[in-house]
Amino acid sequence: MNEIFCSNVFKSFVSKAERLDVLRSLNLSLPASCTCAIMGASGSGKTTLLSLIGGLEGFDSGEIQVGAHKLHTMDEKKLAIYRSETIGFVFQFHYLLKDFTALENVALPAYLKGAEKKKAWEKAEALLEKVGLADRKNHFPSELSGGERQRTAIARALVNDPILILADEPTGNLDRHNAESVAELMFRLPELSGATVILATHDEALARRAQFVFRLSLGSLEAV
Amino acid sequence: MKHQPELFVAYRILFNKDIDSGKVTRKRSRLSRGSFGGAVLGIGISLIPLIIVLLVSDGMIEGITNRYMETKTYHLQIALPLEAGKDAREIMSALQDAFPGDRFFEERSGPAVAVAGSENHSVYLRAVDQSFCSDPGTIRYVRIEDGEFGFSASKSIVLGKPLAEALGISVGDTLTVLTPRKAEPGDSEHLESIANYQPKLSFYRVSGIISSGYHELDAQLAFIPLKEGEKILNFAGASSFIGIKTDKPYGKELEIARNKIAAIVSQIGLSWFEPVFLRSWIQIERSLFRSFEVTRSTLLFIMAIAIAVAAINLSSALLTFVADHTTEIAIFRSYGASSRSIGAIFLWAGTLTGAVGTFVGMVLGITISIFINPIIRGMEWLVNSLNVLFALLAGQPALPVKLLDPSYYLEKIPVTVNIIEIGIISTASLLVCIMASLIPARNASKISVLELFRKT
Repeated sequence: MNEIFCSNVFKSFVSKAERLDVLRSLNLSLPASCTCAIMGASGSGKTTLLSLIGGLEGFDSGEIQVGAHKLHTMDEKKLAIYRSETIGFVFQFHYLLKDFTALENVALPAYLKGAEKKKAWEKAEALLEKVGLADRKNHFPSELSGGERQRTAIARALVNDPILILADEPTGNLDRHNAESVAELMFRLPELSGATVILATHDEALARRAQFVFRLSLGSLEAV
Repeated sequence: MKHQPELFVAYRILFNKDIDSGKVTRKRSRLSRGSFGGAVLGIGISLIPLIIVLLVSDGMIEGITNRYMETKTYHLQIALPLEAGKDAREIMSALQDAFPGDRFFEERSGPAVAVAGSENHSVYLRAVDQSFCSDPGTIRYVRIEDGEFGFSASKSIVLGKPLAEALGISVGDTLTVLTPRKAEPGDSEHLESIANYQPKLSFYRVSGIISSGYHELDAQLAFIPLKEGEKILNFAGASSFIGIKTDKPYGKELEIARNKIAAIVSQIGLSWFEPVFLRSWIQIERSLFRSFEVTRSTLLFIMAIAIAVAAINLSSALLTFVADHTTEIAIFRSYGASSRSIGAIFLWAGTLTGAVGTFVGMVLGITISIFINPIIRGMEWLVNSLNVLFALLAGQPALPVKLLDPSYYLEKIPVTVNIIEIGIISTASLLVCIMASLIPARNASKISVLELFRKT
């Protein structure tokens, strides 16, 4: 059974002036623990597709299933639970909380989800070690380099044991050296955590390192 | 604790110290500056006058009430007919047997005019036994300014300080007291009809000048021996009664004592006695104490409005805080934090801010209240010093300024710290802050994680 399954997904944005069909009969099937890159021009709908799979936005028609979760049947409350239990997000900007240390940033999603504080902190510590930041755990985001911040963000995305990591231009804000270390980590995630990784990127070289590569064009995906 | 993670996040957001990029430069916590600092200060400052009014008015009312009870109204009074002197002694003897711990005093009182030289003043003449002057309750609230509080001679009179000052007399001087003359048997019909308008002149030597510390009481205070009162306070308008001081003059215990005393006096079988003749201090000065309560309630209500304004300030600070932190909120949402959880974080933030503000206000309010007397004296000194300075510059004489005119207040403001009332106000302040945080918390809970994608 496929881990990620999108079938005939339609999504449009309607404004007073016009109706914009972003996704048109989009289909996607991915197995578990794989890496997938979505390429496409700016405005092609990459971020929209990630937000639909992440349960952040509703869609007009079609079906999206992630593991056992059928998103088209879920209300907002169930979607929030789905996000906390199933999805890990990595954004172009690290979006770490500046008032919290790297360790706290990683632990908070688990703690807010209901884990015991001690367990959440222990798990966060283990994840920071996995991403090579064990010695930076008590540093605040402002004390970390760009690459370290993004690696902290990746550790944070993993803390609730998601089955799917959605990454939107995860190296877009980084210099070449840091981008490489983050990319290397991203593509190791299925091995590290067993999660599937879908990343949206402009960077063709980065995309080609994924097991599955698609180009989003005119609202549909085509394999590259 | 169910919302411990949310409390942790709220605490860290409020109390964490900023770190400059690249430098571990700790600054002050967010709660001590900016809009949150303003909210904390607003709540604290709004609570200070409320606490001061509460503690000072409680102390003031209690101080005035105690002075009235111990020096004027007694705890209970049994009204007597003017000619019931023998009955009074019988009642007092029966009550003394039944309540050996209580104190009983016979008193006769009535209006009179005191004349000294060209000065004259209306007085409320009170004829009391020496035992009243030496009663511990009386002594506690009476300060002897000059002479003695007692009657070493039968023609002695003790005056309140403001009255003595108004009359311009001191200890050893002679005072003339004018009272209506009682119609005597054998007076002509004409004389009988005007008897109550004919003054009787009595002469007394001032044996002491006293002060209870409450101008309203002292301004008309004049004590003469009971025997003298029986001679001159026997006209219509004069009153005779037994004053009773119990161990527990408040609440239900006073009512219980009143009922027991009424039962014992009824058993004596006096033809004139009715239970309504027995009244408590609350009934005797009902209008006075009611006016104190109304004034106090009105002041507290006005002060409470200040807290509401401070709460709006807190709400505004939180709304700004939410608007400034949409990214952080969206990050929480991306974790899958529920709307409830996000709302709880900001509700905690408001509650913590309110708690700090309430604590600051309470501490400052109680401290200022405790030191209210030296603070007022210090302010008076400052105002008078400036007054003298400006008067010198202007070449005008400087008139002394009294911030609190002792004519209307106690000379020294007593402060009563009522823990229960302080607790109620703290809780109410905190509840208002929590309510003020509801709208910002609701706004925060509506922020979507899409904010993060939009910002990318």
